[in-house]
Amino acid sequence: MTPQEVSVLFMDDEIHDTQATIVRDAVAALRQQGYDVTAVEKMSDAMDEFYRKFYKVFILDIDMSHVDDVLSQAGERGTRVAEDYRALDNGTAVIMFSAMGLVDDWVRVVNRHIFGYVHKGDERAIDRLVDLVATAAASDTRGLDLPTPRRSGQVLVCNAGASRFDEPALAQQVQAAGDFTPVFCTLGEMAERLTQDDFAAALLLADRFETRPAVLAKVDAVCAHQATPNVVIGCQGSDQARASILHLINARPFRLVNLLAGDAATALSEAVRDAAYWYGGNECFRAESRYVHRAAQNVDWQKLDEQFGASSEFDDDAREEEQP
Amino acid sequence: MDEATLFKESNKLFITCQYEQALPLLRQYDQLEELTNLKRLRNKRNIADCLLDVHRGRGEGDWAVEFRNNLQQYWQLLEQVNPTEISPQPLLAFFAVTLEFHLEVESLEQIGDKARATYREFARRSPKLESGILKVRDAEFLDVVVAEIERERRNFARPDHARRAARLAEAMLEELGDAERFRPHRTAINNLLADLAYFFPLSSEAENERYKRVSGYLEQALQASPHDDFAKIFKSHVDRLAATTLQIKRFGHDTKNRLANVRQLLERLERQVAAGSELHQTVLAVRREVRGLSLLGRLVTSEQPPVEDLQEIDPIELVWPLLQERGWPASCLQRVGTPGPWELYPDYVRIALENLLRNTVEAYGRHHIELPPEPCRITIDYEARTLAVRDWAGGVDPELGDVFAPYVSSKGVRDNTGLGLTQAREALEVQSPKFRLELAEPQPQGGAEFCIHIPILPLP
Repeated sequence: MTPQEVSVLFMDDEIHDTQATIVRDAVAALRQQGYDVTAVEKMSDAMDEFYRKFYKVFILDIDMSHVDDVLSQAGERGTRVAEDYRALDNGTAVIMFSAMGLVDDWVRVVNRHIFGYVHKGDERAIDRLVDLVATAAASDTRGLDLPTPRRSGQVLVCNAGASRFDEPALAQQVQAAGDFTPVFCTLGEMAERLTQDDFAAALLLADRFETRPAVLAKVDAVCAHQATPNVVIGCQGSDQARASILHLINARPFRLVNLLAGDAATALSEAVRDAAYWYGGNECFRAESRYVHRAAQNVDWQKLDEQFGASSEFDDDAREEEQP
Repeated sequence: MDEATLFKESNKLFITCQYEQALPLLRQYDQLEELTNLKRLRNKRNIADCLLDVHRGRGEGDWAVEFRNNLQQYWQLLEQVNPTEISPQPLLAFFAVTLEFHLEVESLEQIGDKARATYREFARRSPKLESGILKVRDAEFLDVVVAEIERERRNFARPDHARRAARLAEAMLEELGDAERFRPHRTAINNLLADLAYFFPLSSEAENERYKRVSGYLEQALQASPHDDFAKIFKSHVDRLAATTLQIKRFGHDTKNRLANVRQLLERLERQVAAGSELHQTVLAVRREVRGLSLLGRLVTSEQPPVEDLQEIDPIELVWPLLQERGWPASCLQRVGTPGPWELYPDYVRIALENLLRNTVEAYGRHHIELPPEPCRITIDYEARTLAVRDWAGGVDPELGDVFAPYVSSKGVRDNTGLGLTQAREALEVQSPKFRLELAEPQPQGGAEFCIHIPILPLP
């Protein structure tokens, strides 16, 4: 796919602000690469775009308070729009581009399986964004090997320094997820173990992951094994750990659990169960009913019928049910 | 054993909390046919206590079935005994044990329904005197409910204790409805829910949503009891915190956005000016300053260093420019062992060293010692992986205590920011908890020596 064939939606409340150099330069850099970029400054406009056109990539900011809009008036932020896009999933790669992001935002969006996150305040932020868009544009999830949902089996667990959980406590949480047996290993061994044995899920925890490349490369190697098995990562969600957490987001684990949350233990169990039970399709996220209704209204059912012909299977079933 | 002996033996074990040993005897006692209903009733309460204590943490099992059967039999017996012989306290104690049982065994989804059903059964079967007065009133059962929510709130041994406590609280609030007589309990439970929401946030919950939820519970508490000081003070605190947090976030956002813009503008400038020109040098200097500003911002908030900043570098490359900047001689530097690169975040180690050297210069001035030709000696030990910084500036006053604690300083009021050594230590520890800055032991005569440890970090 050439850049010209890739449509990009760019949402930022400072899109028309002449002082917002980073935003303007980012849009310019993407256009310079040849991408077909549509820029919007309101969250409601971005939602409208969802129904108007398919975008391969959706780049969005989190804080959208500088522009008056029905959604910003209601206290909503970009994370909400990202969630809605993922809930109404049409295959668009969602990338956050923000200087605002905080722990809540990170955990929220990573668990909606966004494609990536670039912090505007980081060095070479625009280069990173352009690289990520190129990766998203080149990615095709249709060839994904889908796993079989697992109700039992082994779960590979690595505690790389999560002080709240010792081995028995982690074993308890894994067993609480279902008929699963925990197998413990070190971070150094983890990726290799995933290739050697059959695991229903993998669980990797640390209070705070170090930002050393040696450590992060191991984390990436573990996540690269997905979807067989899916990987759950737990770490303490603190703004101070931004560097490592953003790296984790970009490694795209199946779930990221904030170990500082009061319900972290239960959340870990639930995440392990979800990771193992994953049926292979996109996860179903709860979409707002008004957006679902709107999507349904926009569908021209008659045209679809004409295009594809009425589904004889379903019609036959319906006719049979109607028979006295 | 006869009844009297069994009673004596089992009770002796029970009251000395030897529940595991007491349980078989209590079961045996329960099987005796000659027991009065009252004796059997008391024994069943003791059995419940023992069952829960012995099996705590084991989840559902045969013991839970036995507990439930024992409870059913207790309720039946309760209706058969003379109400005047019943003491409220044991009844309330059994109610408390049953709530604990639900918290222990039931799934999160089931806790609420089970607790409500138990409350209704106990309240319904509470013995009534001929005058129509209940032996145990609703309010007394609810006091137990409040105490049990509070107990579970602090039950840190159970990983999901906060969620369980919240489930129990929410279910009981629903049970109480709007009845006027339950106002104090509604207040107490709402206050507990606010506390749970505040201190045990949900992993899926954003900070502002959490504050909203806390404030909502407190609002409910105040509706029931408008003069409840706990709810009033807590609510004003949370509302203020929510507003301040929002302001700080906005400030943080705007600052980071502007910094990103400045960085971007400098990148543009750098591309436009001729390499090697004076302006180019200025742009590079401004970029370094902006980078330093970001670094300080990260240090102040103890933020992790960026991934790409890690380098493998010979520490001499950090130390030597610092000495040169100050015009200090090469003899200030010593090397031990075979030189080689260390894995570290150079900017952070540089900040630590700069702070140590600044302290050195200040110490000479403070002690009215003329700066010697060799003001310090920095020893890089490649084997021990340490950087030792030693001076002859009078030494550290032992009266100061922990010199790395914030605002501990021997400098006069005029210069007293007191963050130099704190920041230096922070700059090392933020790279890895294994990186350390310490005062050397023992301290040299007439001077100070600090030691920076930068060990090789293994994979976790």
